[in-house]
Amino acid sequence: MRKSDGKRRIIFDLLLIAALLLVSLSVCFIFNAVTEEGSVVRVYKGNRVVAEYPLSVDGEYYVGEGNIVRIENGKAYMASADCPDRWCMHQGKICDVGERVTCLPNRVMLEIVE
Amino acid sequence: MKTKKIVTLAAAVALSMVLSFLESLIPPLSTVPGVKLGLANTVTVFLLYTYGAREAGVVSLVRVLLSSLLFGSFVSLAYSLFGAVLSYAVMVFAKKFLPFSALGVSVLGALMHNAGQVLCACIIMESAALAVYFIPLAVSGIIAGIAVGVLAGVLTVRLSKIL
Repeated sequence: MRKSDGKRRIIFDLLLIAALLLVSLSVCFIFNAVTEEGSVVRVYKGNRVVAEYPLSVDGEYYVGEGNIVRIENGKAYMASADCPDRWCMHQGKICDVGERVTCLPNRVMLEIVE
Repeated sequence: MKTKKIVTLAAAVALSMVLSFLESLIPPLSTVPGVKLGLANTVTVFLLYTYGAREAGVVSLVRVLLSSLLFGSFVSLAYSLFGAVLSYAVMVFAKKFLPFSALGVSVLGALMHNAGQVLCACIIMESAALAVYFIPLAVSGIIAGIAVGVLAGVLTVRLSKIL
């Protein structure tokens, strides 16, 4: 392999990276531009909807036996979970249509709708 | 297999497990699940360019299994396995057939690793819509892939004399 081959490869790398960044950042941008605030949080257990709560009313609800979803100031989040990593509790508060919080071990998902 | 190689590969497994553990200590970078730096991939890319696809694959597999057994859960094993297998397959293909260097291969690997994890989440939650999570993960994957690729490249150059 000659040295010029190495340089040529790096140019390809940089082109690839530039193209990938361009595409993904554009998608990010467009995505942010079209999201809007929602009014209802839908709760899934597995792929079944088990409950829907309005974001306008503060409240705390059990999902199954291991998760607690809380609605506060128009946002919903996982207030408590008994899963091993509790990652769902670090996913933040959601309020835009399409935003989600998922607890994979317990197969619980919160989704903001309309 | 030469003793030297056995020892080196064992050290590689240990190293990638430590890297995997270290990055799990960093507080979550975003609300999106699976936003990891993918530091352990440094070892995979490095092995890919010093020894070859087989060694890189075996070490990767062993690391995923051991890490999940020790630090994770059954779910995290599924997650990691999906990501690692997809990432590995793409990297081997890219190294062999595409005109990229370790940097490009690493970026593709990191991207595919995140794609694999999102795919796994979609399957577990039976919701294709989870795929939107891939958008921010794509950006972080590219950046992580660059860092890992550069690091692996440097390691390859420096260590190939010893190995």
